[in-house]
Amino acid sequence: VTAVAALLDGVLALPASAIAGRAVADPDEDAVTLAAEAALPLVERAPEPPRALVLATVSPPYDEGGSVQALAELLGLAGERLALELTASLRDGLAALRIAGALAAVGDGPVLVAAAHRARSERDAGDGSVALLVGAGGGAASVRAVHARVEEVRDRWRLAGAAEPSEGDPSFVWEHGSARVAAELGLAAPMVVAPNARSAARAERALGGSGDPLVATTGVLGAAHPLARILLSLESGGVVIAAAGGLAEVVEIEPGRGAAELAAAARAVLAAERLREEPPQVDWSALEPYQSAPRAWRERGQDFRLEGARCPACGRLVFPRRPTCPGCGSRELVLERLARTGTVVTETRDHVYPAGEFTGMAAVDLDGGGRFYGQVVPSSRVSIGDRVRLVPRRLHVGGGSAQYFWKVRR
Amino acid sequence: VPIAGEVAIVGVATTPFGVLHDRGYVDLLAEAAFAALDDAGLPLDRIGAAWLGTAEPGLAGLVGDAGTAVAEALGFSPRPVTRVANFCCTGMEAVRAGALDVAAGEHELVLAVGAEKMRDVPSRGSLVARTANLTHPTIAKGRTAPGQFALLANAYMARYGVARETLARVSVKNHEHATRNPKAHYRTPLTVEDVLNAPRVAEPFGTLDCTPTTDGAAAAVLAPVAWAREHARRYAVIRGFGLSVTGGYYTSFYDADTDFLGFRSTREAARIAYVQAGVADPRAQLDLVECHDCFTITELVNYEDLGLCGRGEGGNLLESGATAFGGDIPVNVSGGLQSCGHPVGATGVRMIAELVDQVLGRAGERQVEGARLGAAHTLGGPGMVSAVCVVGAPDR
Repeated sequence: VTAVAALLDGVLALPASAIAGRAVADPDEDAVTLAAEAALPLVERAPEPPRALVLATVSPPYDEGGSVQALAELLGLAGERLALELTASLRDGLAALRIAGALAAVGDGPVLVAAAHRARSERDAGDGSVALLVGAGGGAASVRAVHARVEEVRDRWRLAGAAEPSEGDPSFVWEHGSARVAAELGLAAPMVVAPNARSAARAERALGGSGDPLVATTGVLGAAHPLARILLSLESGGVVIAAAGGLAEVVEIEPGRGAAELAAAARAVLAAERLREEPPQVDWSALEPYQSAPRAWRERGQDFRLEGARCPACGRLVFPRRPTCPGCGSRELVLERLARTGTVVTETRDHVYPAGEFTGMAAVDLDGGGRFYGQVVPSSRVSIGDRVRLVPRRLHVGGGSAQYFWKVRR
Repeated sequence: VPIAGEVAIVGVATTPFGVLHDRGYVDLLAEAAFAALDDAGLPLDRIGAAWLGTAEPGLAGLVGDAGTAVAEALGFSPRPVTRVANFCCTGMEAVRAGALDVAAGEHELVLAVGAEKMRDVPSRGSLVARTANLTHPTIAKGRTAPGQFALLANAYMARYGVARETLARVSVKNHEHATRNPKAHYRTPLTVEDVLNAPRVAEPFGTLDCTPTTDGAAAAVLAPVAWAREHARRYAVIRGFGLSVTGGYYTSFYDADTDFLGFRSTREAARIAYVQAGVADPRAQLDLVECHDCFTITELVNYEDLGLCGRGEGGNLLESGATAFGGDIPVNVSGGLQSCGHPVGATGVRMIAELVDQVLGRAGERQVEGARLGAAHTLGGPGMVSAVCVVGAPDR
């Protein structure tokens, strides 16, 4: 079972806060918004749109019905495109890479892999995401899938409907999981990724590996974790084992041109200063927001892609789009995506909007023209004149679905 | 025939404003309407048509959703009644529509009545919760009435170096004024410290920067000036009436020409009304102003938009004492929305009733000496709807 993928580009994204060695997302972030934060820059600098999209996450926002649609919309990749979703275990980060390589080899363009984790109550877990652009050849590294295994050995699992995960006996899981894989393959100094971070660290040390820099800084990032390790050590390459008990996958990385730059960028994300306080909580239980599926479909460009409208007659950029230019009355407005960076015009912290202790609100003049007005992310406080960016978040949950939109953060 | 100079107000009345658990929506409507007819000395059967202003019928079981409420409350059948709404300018719109009806010559005597029952639900569950739930699922989500004006407060303080205490003094002034208004919701004087220490609403506002949530109704009887000269016991004259709508409910805060320092809608509505009324220097020519002080900042930017001072000078005008009772341009001698409360459909009619009482010299303890010309102003939605009505004493 060998296959080859060319890693063309990659981004590691981590949330604003870190507490006791765990990267902690805001309460309005989920695996889709985290995946989008890593994938947006990648898609925007890609020479052509990816031909397919593979989402790998153990914490999908939707148990049934799919989460990848929302990600595709946020990335501007909705439409005629293959979109897959792998949700079994952290092994699926590498499985996604293998599938992407195979698709790229037979297809006519690159494939996007987005992996994200939003920790719930599980031990050792942190929040974060990785996006990789995978092609058929060339790029910053060549990834060879060298081994795959399936056996009824469980490391961490959650029976349908269960609130809390169950955990296997660590020594049993180690013996029949990553250690056995490594021994059978005769691997020297591999990187070992498993849900149980202590077991993985033990395995890695026993096999002569250098240790996982993420375990004490971000926690285990689910399906994004093996991909994060690939990115962080891209210029030296090596072998990565991702084993969730008897679900295991092994890849071998060989660096190419540009590997050092991508690795340095990922390490800079990891080293960035993080907030040390628990993010403020939101509480949407008192909200019963108006929802409409036809409205959401009709306005998906506005909600997911921040599409405004440019007036070709007077040059004004308006958001939301409207039938008539408020500046000159022209009715020939052309859709245009807003810039996601800007400067705060004014702001407030509202204590009466029924979504928790407070809701930050800000008006932002965007760099490419036009203005945004909306909520500030819970962990951020903004002031007039601050430089800020817009990030995708959950606005609320209502009618059984998550409403995604853009929020302001420093 | 225009409205300005041709339509008279021959009777007005206002119910007490407050949390009126003992009176329902139609009770308030009837109380205001019959009192205005009594003030005019006219029986109901002389009235040809009625215009009803109610902004939020959803807070009171939808009874005020249409003209039927007037037929029910007054036994006003089978005559034409239309409900009008235009956010917080709803009360003004009832008077404006009635005045257009009279000016058009369709009806000689017309009733304009505004009524709002807001406290059949708890104050927090009132407009804020409804707006949070019913508005667009993404655009401007998170906006509340205090939150949107708090954006102005922070922009205004930063731009002009105005102190938080200056905002608080708007509330202090208007609460002092309300001690002379027996119908106001709140009649207790406040200190700056009271305002600064009140529970937080939307920063920098506390509860005492905000109008309370209030029940109430007000009514006016309108007639041609020519009829009033012959038949009215007493009357005031609409000298100018401007309405301006400048943007969308959801979209306006996204427009880069919204500067969060004032409202073009008010400047435009005032321009129209002042031209009609021959007001070239509002501070010198107007004897008093009732303006839309829904939040403390709103009164300061209204001073500027209504031409009482230049841009950025609102704080200085307030601090000078000019807008207090006894000053040269008293603003909100009724206590304003800050103290009267703001039953949305009633507010504009209440303001006009206040001007009528003032120019007729019957405003009692709060009479502005020698008042002959006043302006009323309401500001609606996200500040994109404004109405300005100039009311004067009859020509001598």
